[in-house]
Amino acid sequence: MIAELGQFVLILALIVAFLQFVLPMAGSLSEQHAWQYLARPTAWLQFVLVAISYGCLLTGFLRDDFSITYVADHSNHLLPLPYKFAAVWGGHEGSLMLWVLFLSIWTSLVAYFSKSLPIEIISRVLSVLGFISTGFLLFILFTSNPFLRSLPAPLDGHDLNPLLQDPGLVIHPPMLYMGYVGMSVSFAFAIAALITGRLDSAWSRWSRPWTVIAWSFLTLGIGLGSWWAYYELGWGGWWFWDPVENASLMPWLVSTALIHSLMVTEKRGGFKAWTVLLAIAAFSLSLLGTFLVRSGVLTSVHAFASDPTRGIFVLCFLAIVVGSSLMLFAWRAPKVTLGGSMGLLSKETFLLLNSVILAVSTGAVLLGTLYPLVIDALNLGKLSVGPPYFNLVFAPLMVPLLFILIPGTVAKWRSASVKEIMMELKWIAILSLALGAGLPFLIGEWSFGVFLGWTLGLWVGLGTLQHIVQRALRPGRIGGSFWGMQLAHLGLAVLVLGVTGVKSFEVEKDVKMSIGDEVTISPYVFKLTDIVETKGPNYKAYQAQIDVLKSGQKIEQLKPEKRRYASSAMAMTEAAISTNLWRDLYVSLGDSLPGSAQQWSMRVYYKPFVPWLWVGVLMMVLGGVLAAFDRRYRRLRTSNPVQTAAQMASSFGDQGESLQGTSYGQVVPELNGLNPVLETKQFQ
Amino acid sequence: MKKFLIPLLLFAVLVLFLGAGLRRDPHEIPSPLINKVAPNFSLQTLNGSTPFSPQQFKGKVWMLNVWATWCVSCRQEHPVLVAFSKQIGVPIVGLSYKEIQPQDDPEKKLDLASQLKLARERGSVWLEKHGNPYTLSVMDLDGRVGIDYGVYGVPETYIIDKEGIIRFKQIGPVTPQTLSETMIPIIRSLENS
Amino acid sequence: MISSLLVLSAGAPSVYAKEAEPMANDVQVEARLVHIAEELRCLVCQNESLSSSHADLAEDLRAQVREQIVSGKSDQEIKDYLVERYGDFVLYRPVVKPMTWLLWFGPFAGLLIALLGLGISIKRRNEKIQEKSAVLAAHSTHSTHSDNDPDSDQQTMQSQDFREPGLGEPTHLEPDSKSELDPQPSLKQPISTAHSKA
Repeated sequence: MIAELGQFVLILALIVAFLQFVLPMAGSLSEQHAWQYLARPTAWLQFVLVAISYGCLLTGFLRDDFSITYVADHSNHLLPLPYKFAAVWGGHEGSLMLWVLFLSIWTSLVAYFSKSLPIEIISRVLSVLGFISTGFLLFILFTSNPFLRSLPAPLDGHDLNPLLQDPGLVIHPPMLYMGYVGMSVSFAFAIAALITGRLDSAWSRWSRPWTVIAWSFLTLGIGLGSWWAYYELGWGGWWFWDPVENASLMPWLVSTALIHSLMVTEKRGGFKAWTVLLAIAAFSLSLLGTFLVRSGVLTSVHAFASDPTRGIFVLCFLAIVVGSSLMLFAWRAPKVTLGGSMGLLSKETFLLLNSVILAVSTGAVLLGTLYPLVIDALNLGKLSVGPPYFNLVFAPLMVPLLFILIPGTVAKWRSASVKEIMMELKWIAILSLALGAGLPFLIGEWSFGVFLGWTLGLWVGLGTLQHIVQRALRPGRIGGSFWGMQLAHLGLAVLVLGVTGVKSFEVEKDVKMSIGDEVTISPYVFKLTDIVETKGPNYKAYQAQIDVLKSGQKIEQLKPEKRRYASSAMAMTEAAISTNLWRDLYVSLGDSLPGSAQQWSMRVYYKPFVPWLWVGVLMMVLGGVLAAFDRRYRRLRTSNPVQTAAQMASSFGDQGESLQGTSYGQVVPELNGLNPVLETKQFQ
Repeated sequence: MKKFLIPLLLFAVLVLFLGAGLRRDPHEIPSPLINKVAPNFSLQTLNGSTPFSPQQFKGKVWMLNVWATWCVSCRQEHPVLVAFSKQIGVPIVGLSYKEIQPQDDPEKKLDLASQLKLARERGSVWLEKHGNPYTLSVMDLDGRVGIDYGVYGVPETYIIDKEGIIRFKQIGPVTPQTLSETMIPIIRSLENS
Repeated sequence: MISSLLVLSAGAPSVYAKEAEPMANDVQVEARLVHIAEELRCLVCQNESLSSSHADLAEDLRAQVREQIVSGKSDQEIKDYLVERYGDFVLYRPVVKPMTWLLWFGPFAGLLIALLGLGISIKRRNEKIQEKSAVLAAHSTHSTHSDNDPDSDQQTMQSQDFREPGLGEPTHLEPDSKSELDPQPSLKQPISTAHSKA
C-alpha cells in the first residue's frame, strides 16, 4: 500500500507543480493578476506532497519491504539502520526523489523568505522553479519510478553496495544535491529578471545570498566526496577527474564566478548580461551533470545504471530548459543597460578577470570530459582524456586566478592605481616568495611545483590576513559579508598549500608483512602486531593490528580491515588512518599471500598536509555561510520594502566600510539623482 | 547584438553531440588491428600434439574466436557458431583464453604442464557438451596472445583474410543478425578477392 | 646480515624486528611501472587507471609492462606497444595530433581570446558611457530624473533597464522611473499609476 500511496501522492505533486509553473506566470503576464498569488501556496503544497511521497519510499526501506523492486535492489534486512536511510538515494530512482524533495524545499524557502519581493517577481521565480519540478517529476513517473513492485517479493534484498555502506554516503549526496538544486534558485531569479525586464541591483542583491548558500552546499558536497573517496577506496587518492566528479566541479567553478560577478552588478550595475549568463550556466551545468551521470554516455565509476530512454528524456529536458533560457537571454540581454564606467584597472576588472578565468577553466573541464564523446560521435575513433590532461591544463589556469585574488581584494572600485596596489602588497609578495622558495629547501625536497604552489598559497593566505588586520584597525562595524569572504579566501589558501604539500611530499610503501615486521617511513615506524578475525552486522573481516611508533614511542594503534560482506563476493578494504593537523598516516590491508610464511600485503602511506585539504574546504563552506547570512540580506525579509531598501542602502558601503561621518550621497552615489523625497526626507 | 546568440548556438552544438553520444557505447574499444597483419603466435592445441601458428592458414579465409568455459556470454553465441561452422566452409580457430583462472589455483601450485592438462580437459568436456565449431582450438593460458590481439573481453571474434590480415573484429557474442548482415558478406568478399 | 642477526638473537625476540620487504621484487622497476601505469587506462574498468585496478586484464597488462621495463624498453615504446593493440583509448594522456589540437590548445587559446575580449569590452563600454554622458550634458539638466539616463556615472543603479515601455508585456513601470529602491508602490497597485511617495 505504501508504494501505491507514494506513487499516487507523487502524481498529485506533479499536478501541483504544473499549476505552480503555469498559473503564477500566466497571472503575471496577463490580466489575471490574482493567479500570481497562487505561487506560494502551490509551492508549499508541492513540498508537502513530495515529502509524503518521499516518506513512503523511506518507509519501504525502513520496513524492509522487498516487494518494492527499488528497495530490494538497494537494501537488505541486515543493513544497519542509518544505511537504510541513506540507501534511499543509493540508486538512480531514489536519488531523483531526493532531487525533487530538495527542490521543493528550496522552493518553499524562497517562497517563505521573499515577503518583501514584489509579487510579479516572486510569481515568476516560483513559476520557473515549478517548471523544473514538473520536468523532474515527469522524469520520475515516466522513466524512473521507485515505487514499482516485483511480485513475488524476494526474501531478502541485494543489499546496498558495500562501498556505499559508510558514513560518507549518508551525507555526501544530500549535501551535493542541496548545492545542485540550489543553483536553480539563482537561475529562477535570472529568468524572472529577464522576463520582467528588471536586471537591476535589486535582482543581484536578492540572488546573491541564495547563490552563496547553494555554493556553500556544493563546496561541502564536493569536499565530502573527495574525503570519502580518500578514506574509503583504500589507496589515498582524492580526485580523479572522473566525469561525474567533473560534473560537480563545473557548476562549482561557474557559481564561484557568479558570486563574484554579482558583486560587480550589485555595486556598480556592470556586466549584468554576463552575470545573468553565468546564472543560467551554473544551473545548466547542474542539469548537464544529471544527464552525464544517468545516460550512459560516459564511463564512470560513479555512473548510475544507464538507460537510453532516461538519457533521451534528460537531454530533451536539458534542451528545453537551457535552450529557452538562452533564447530569452539572446532576446533580452542586448537591451540591458551598461551601468557605471570602470577603469581598465579597477576592482571590477579584477572581479571580471576572475569570471573569465573560471569560465575558461570550466570550458576546459567540459572540453576534456566531452572530447571522447565528440570524437566518437564524429566517427574519428575512441580516445581517453584522463588525469594527465586535466592536471596539465587546469593547474596552470589556476595560477593567474590565485595571483589576482589579492590585488583584486585590495583594488578600489571604479579605478585603481598600479602603484598603490604594488606598494600595499610589496611585503606580502616578498614574504610569500621567500617562504615559498625556502620552506621546500628546509624540508629537503625542492621542485618548481612546490615553490609555485606554496608561493601562491602563501600569497593568498598572507594577503588575506593583511587585509583583515588592516580592516580591523579601521573603525566601523564589519559585516558577515566581509568575514565570510576573508574566511573563504583563507580556506582556499589552506587548500592550495595542502594540495601542493601532499602531492610533493607523500610517501608510499607497498610491502609484504608477517607478524612482527615493521615498515619505516621516517620518523614513523609501523609494526604489525597481530591479525585477527572480526565481524560486523553484515560482514566478516580480517583485521590487522598495527602499532605506530614515533621516535620509539607508540603513539597510536591502527586497525585496517579486509571485509567480506554477506551479500556480495566483493572483498572490501577499510583503511585505517591516523590524523593530526599536519599529516595523515594511512594503512591499507591487502590480501594474504600464498606461501608458508603467514604474509599479508600492506600499503603504508605518509601523507603530509592532507588534513589541510579538508580544513580548507570547511573554511570555504563556513565563509560562504557567514557571507550569506550577513545582516544586509536578513533585513531584506522585513515586510516594509521601502524601509528595507533604505536600510540596505545605508549599510551598503564597501563590504562593511564605515559610513559614519560621510554623506550618503558621497558613499552611495547610486542615490544621487533618484527620488529626492527619499534622499532628503528620510536620510538627512 | 549577434554575440548574444553565441551561447545558444554553442549549446545547440553541445546538445547535438550529446544526442549522438546516446547512440554510442563508451565501453566498446574498436580494434586498431583492422587491416593489419594478424600477430603471430605458436600455441599448443586442445587435442593435437603440434602447436599451431596463423601462418598455417595462409591462403584461406578464417575466423579466430576467443572463448572460455567460464564465459557466460560464450554459451549464448556457441550454438550460433556451431550452426555456422556446419554451413560455411570457413575454418574457425578457437582461442581458449585464460581457461585457468586465479580462483582455480589460489596457492599458485599448478605448473604450466598441469595447467595445460587441466585446461585441455575442461575445454574438451565443455565442447563435447555444447558442440564443437572449431577446426582446432589453441590454448592461450596466460592471455599473452590475447593481449597481442587486443582482446579485452570474452567472446570476441576475428575474420582474417588469405594474406593473414585481420579484416573484422566482433566484440561480444556473434548473433545470427551480425553473421548474416556483416560477417558473411565480408567473408564472401574476402574469398572472392 | 639481518637474518643472521635474527638467528643469533633468537633468544631475544624484541631486539631486531624485521623491516618488511617490498611487495615488488624490484622496487625501481615497480616505481617505473606505477609511473607508466598511472597514465594508462584499465580497459575493462569503469574509468580506473591501470596502476590501481584489480581487474584480471589489468594484472596481465601490468605483468606485460613489467617485463618490458625489465627488458629495457622506454616509456614511449611501452605505450606504443599498448596503443598498437588497444588503440589511443588506452592512453589517459591524449596524443598531441591534429585531432587533439583543440583539446590541448583550446583552453589556452580560449583564455587569450577571453582576456582580449574582456579588455575590448571594457574599453567599448566606457566609450559608450562617455558618449552618453556627453549627450546628456548637452541636454537640459532641469529635472534630474525626467531624462532618466541610467548610464551616467552618477546613476549607476537604475531600475529601468528596458527603456522602451510596452515590450509586449505589461510591466507597469513608468518611463520616468521611480527610484529602484521604491518599486513596491507602483507594482502593488498595478492598475493605478498615481500614488504618493514615501
